[in-house]
Amino acid sequence: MRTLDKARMRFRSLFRRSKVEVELEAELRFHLDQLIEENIASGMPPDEARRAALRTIGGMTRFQEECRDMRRVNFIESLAQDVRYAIRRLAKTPAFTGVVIATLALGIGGITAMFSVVQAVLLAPLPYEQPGQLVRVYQQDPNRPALPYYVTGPHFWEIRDHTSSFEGFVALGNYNEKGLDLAHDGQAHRLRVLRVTSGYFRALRSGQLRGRESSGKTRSVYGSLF
Amino acid sequence: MGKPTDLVQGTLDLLILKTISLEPKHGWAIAKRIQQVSREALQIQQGSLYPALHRLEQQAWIKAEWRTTEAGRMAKFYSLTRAGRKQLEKLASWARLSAAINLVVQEA
Repeated sequence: MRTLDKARMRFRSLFRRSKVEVELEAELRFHLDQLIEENIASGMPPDEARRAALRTIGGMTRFQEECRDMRRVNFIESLAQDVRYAIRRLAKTPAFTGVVIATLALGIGGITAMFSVVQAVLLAPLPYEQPGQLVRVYQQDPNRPALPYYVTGPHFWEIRDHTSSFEGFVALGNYNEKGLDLAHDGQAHRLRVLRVTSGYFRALRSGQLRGRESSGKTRSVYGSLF
Repeated sequence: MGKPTDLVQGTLDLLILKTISLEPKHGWAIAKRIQQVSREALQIQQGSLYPALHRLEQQAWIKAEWRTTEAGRMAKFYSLTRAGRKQLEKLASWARLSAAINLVVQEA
């Protein structure tokens, strides 16, 4: 409850400042008037009563400043002042400012780009149904166990036909940026092509948009258009 | 008028909270009341009174509202909040303790 009340007071002091200021002024004015009345009541002429009261009360503006301090919003105002000052200073030294901004921009940009790559390549799961169950198989030379080799064609067919550890065992050819040309209705289209073995889509459980995938154990290689 | 008594902040808070604990009062009345009850020994200067009031309000120990005085003028009246009442009890018990210590010190 108290926290809420405090927050409300702080909010009021900060955003309804003119109202708070007017109230503060009125409050101190009231005090001053009471003082004047008291002086008059004790037998002073009005003019002198007023002067005496003002003397007693001292600088009104100083009180107002102190009251403002007590409202603890000065620090926010001085923060705003500091920010304005910083902007002015930076505007005065464009070379320095430019270097700083460029450094920050390059730094942030570089990190962002790097993270995007890491995110896409390493962190984001593959867009398949069970990406955790996909493995890549290499073959190994017993003399050089540290070097992974691509599975050769004959080995691939052997493994595929005899393995029982995998649900599906498929291969894909090297991706070639050049692609293939497809002539259709007198027009040639450049297609991006990846050649895969049969069962590829089934193994990835990704389904096909068009066409039919041959089932069974045929040793055929399909072109996949995408 | 005597020399202004130097008040530590906690004491001034206690005096203010105690003074408005019975009924809401405006700043002037608070100062007068403290002066009167202390038999003129305590003169609360405006320069300490109003900042203290604003601090207490900011702490949500007291709340302020504008009301008409008997003389028909608008003035800002301060009253205790529930948290303020608790704070008053805390400060008052501290004052009792300090009075007890004073007794011992003066006896010795």
